[in-house]
Amino acid sequence: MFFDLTILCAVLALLHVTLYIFMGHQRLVIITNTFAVLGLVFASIQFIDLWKDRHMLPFGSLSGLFLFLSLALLLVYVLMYVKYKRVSLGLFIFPLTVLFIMISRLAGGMPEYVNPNAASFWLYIHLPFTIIGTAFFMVSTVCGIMYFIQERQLKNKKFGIIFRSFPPLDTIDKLINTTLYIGFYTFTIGLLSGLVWMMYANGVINIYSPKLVFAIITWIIYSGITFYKQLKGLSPKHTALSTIIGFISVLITYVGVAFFVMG
Amino acid sequence: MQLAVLGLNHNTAPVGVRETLAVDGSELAEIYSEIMNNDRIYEAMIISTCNRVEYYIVTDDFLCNIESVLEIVSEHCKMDRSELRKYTYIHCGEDSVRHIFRVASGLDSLVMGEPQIFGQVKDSFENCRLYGGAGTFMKKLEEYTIKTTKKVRTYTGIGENPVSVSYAAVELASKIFGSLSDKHALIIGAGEMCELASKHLVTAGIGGITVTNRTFEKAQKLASEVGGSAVDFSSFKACLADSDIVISSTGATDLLVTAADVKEAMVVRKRRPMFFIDIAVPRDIDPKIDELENAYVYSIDDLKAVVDANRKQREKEAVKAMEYIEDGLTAFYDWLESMKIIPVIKSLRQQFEDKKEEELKRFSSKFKIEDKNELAKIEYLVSAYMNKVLHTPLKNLKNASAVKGKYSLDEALKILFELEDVK
Repeated sequence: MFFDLTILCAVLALLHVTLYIFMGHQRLVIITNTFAVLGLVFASIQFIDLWKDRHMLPFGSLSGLFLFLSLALLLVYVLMYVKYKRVSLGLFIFPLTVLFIMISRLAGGMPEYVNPNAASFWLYIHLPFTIIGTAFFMVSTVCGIMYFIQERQLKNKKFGIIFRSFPPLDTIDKLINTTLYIGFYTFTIGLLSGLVWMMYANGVINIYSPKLVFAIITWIIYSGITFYKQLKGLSPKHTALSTIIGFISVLITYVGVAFFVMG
Repeated sequence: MQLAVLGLNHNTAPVGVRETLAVDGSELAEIYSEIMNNDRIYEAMIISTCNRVEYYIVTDDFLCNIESVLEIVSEHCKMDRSELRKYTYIHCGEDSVRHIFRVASGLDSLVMGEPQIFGQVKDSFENCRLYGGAGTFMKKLEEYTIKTTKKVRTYTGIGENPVSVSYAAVELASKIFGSLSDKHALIIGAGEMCELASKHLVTAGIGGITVTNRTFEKAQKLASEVGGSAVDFSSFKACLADSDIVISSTGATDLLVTAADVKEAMVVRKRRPMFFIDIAVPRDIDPKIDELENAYVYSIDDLKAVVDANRKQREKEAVKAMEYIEDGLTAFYDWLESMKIIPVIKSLRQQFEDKKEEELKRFSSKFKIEDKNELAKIEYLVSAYMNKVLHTPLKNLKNASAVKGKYSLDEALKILFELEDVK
């Protein structure tokens, strides 16, 4: 039931944020955020339900992973709203949440692919941190896309609905930086704990594992972006572009992981 | 009792007439006292701003009494009544309440949605209390006016989207930079437009301002007014790298800032966005700068397009605002309707009190009770019983008084005493 309630809340949040973009009623912001928080609560209850059901954290299946990713996305939205008060982020985040929660629901009957014997403390550090890091990367990519859209509006002197409802360029840049840095640090913790888990589970770190290769490539790209930004400085436009490039590597990693693991 | 208003504003009277009729703070006491001298005017309030002068009165005969206000105003400003009548408008009843809600929300202002009028209306209500013009009606009207205006300003975009060129420029800068507190502006020129833009930037919380002008003294003067610094005209290009916003309005015939200057500055500032506003004709800022990455150039024509779009947007928002005003009006008239029941309640209570006294006297003489303590106890008992019996119907009478409906006597009794059907 909580799957359906989460989907319903995410759809309603999406509907209200869309209405807000067109109508501009401040009440719609309150309604959107109420549904986002409710969606987060229902997704959390569903996650705890799965946990109780399986007597272990439900990261061993696609269903559990995608459920946690949806939960993490809603959490990142709520956190970013609290800090920057920009509801238009939801226009991109809620459809992703709906998509992931639906995948999670459809994948409910699929078998577990993590051997319970291999599940250890390190796995439960590795998976949540990697997923939360990915959720932050997704939001930074969403912000990158928003930056390009808003930048086009300003260059073309179009002052329509998008110009009014999207955040200022500087705010989008700050959003990108915040999500990029938090995403990078959490992803790093996820990657390191994954290495430790691999060593405990297999007795050795298999550096030719496609999962590991793709994850390291992703980490190198994001560390390149963050370190270059810190050391030399990167213009907001280039930062926005780099989040999109970085996310392509995240996608390749996950498709690669799904392909090799499920295959 | 109803509210009536006699007034004039920027739509009905030229500035000369508005000046003549404007009420100075020192004249308020005298005018209030003259208006309140009329026995049929129970409450009054005066709103006087640069664009409107309005006299609100609470009366039971608005036609006669508004004429007496007109008389007072014409005597005060030494203008013929028939001449004055040409410039004024009169509203009464619901229209006058709707009018004050519209005025306070900025819907009736010269610049639609401007926020200052709300403060001016609040000040007028305060003066009204100070000079004895306020009673229950005005106090409640003030409460509902504030409530409605706050709703309009919170839930509609009536105050958003600036409609002046200089303010639109600052708003555009805010759209690029969000908070301006850590941003620096370079103002080229010290004329009226630059002065206005600088003041708007200060209001928006700009981090710092540098002013440059061919006449250095003028630059210094403007810089000191806005708390910034002045720089010599020959060396202002050195400030470009530190400037996030550049506003220019000079009489120069050549370009003052070229694409090459900005390219150079961009390298130093690590390509952080730069926003250029060129209010000058002919232009001071090279339009080719707009082709550079992270540089945004807006000319006076671009800003006028923004202002026009914003004006249209505010007109749309005004339609939304009217919904809140109508809600406020309904709520206010519900309260007014509920007030009609107060005399009935008072009379009913009085009747019960009289009967109580009468019965107590009869009771004490019949049973020859002379002990005062004994009598007080009996009176306490009767009062308590009476209050208990009256509590429910009076409460229901107050609650239902705003509801317009016709009930039969038995229905009314059932509602008042919350009676249940006995089988």
